[in-house]
Amino acid sequence: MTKMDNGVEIKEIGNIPENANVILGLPDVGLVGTIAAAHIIEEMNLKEIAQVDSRMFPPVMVVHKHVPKSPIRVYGNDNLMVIISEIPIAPELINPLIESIVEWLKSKNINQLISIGGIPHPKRMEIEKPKVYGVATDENFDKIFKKNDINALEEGLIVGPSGVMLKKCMLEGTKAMYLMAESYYKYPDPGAAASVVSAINRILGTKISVKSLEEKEEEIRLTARDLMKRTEDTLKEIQKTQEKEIPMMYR
Amino acid sequence: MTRKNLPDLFDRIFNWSWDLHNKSLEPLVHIEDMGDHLLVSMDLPYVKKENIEVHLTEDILEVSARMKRKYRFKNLGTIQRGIEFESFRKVIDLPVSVVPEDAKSVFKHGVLEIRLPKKIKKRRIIVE
Repeated sequence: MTKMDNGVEIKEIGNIPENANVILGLPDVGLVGTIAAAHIIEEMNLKEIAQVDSRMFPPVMVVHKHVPKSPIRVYGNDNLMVIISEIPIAPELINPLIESIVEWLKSKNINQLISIGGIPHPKRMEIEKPKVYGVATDENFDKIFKKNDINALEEGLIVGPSGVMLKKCMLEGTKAMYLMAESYYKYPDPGAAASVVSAINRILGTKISVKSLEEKEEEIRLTARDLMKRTEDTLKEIQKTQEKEIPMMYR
Repeated sequence: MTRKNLPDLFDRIFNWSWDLHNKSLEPLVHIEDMGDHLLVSMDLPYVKKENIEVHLTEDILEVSARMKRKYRFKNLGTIQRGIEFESFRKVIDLPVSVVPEDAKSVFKHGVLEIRLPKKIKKRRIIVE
């Protein structure tokens, strides 16, 4: 059990790999990160290796196959970890949770942290294959983005857990990037999740199939609707719409 | 806690997004004020265009849509697992009055978008 100063506890229940690539998929715009992370866990048959808990979390436990679990968990194999949450991250929890996760990952000497999510597109209905945008802590990532058909985000605001993650990783000297697919704002978007998973494949050299994500698109949209509704309230509280604004940049 | 507060409390606790009696689900809805019109969209998975019904007055929008097949939440909790749904239904009290005759809608990739022109038109004022 690793207990951070801010009260967040990370209970290790399996083998935590060293030098791993880590994917962070938290509920956000279009639930892109959550849907993509859940898909990667299932496709790669990753095992549960840690649970994240805190007295600050809402009083919620989830039950899967008769076993009560923390809603925020870590799955992994020998070289990959995926962090997923089944509850929206309340604004007051974003800083302590993300800071704790980054500190814990740093103690495990990870290779890099990749947060995944969506970027709302007003004409998402017209888009067949959502583009993926990226931002990273290291300027050399620019070459990786170009090579892997990812559009580098030139200007903008990043609001929420991924913004805090990038900031903390920059301060800690941990390699990190945030990949976002064009998505619906308030509707679960498995199509955008498929684009993000394809981008992960190109970057990490994995071969995660997105076929089932495309085939089960309607079912995922239906089953994810309650989490989407709860996440919508959180997005409002953290003023996620700021991402649509044009930032006044001082260069 | 007064008796008067109880219905509100129950609504907050049991904010169900389904109607068991009609076997219908409440769709996710997004309403945006675009200035001269309201843009209402709804996520309607498992629905075909021909099975959507939209009824509109100046102040109320009602959408019902039959799914192409009945759906049972097989991966959900023990209680929800036994429930089967066959349609979506949503009634919206519009925040402003609209002109029903000029409304337009489009359905693409499972998302219904309805454009509702506002009844009150803007008036141009000459700047002196």
